[in-house]
Amino acid sequence: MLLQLWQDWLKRSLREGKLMSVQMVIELREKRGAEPILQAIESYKARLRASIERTQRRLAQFEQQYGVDTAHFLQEMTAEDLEGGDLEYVEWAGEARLLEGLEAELTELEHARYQLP
Amino acid sequence: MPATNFLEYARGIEGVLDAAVAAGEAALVSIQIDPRSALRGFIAGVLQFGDASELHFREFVDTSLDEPRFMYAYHYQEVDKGRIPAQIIPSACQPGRGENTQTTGGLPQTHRWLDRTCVRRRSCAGQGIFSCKWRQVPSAPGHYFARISDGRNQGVSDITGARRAV
Repeated sequence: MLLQLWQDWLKRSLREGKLMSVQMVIELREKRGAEPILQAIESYKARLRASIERTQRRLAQFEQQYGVDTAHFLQEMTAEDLEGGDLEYVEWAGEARLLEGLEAELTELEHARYQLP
Repeated sequence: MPATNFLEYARGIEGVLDAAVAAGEAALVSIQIDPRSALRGFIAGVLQFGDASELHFREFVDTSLDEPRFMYAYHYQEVDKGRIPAQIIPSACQPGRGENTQTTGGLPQTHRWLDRTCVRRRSCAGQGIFSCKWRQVPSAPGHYFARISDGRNQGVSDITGARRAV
């Protein structure tokens, strides 16, 4: 319950820009225990990059099909402009918004700093 | 308790669908769970009902948001593959939620079913990029449509209330 409250508060604060930075402390029994954690973070960043590329490929398929870029689609087009109607609109717009989130997630990790004693 | 990561969210959806299948409400033809990160991903699938009609669904999920399902669509297909108008149901359109929602005298059966199976346990804080207003069709009592607006282009789509009782 307490963890959930803290997560909610953190999400809300980050979204509202109230927090400039967050420090996370991980206690380990031995210094060498830090290595697997750093590797896990690097692996996750690699996974994020792969997901971003895959999402970009899906967006490129839509862009190629309709001959417009995603920014134009989001600004100017409606479901009626697409062959697949509402379903296709949701898929295209959803991928675009998903990409924003993935890029933000990666940026956050790339700006993270680690300090070992 | 809301899901804290994408796989947990997806397991929740699977559980609800499995329960619907076990209860004989529908058969699960396919489901695709596509995690893009620990927090975010895409879920798609097809349910088939007793009369062979199908429900195609899509959900884009971001569990860092208060309302994780930030964009989703449900598309019903009749036995003869003739299409009932596709349905975009953004968060702000959930029954009984939000300032823009109007539920005069009930909602289409499909939306009740979706509400029961997919969104019942989650809040609807109007996080979707759309807004919508429910309207009763004057010439057809008991039928409804929702006018969807994304805030830029009015009337992105009109949803006709499907009349299927699931």
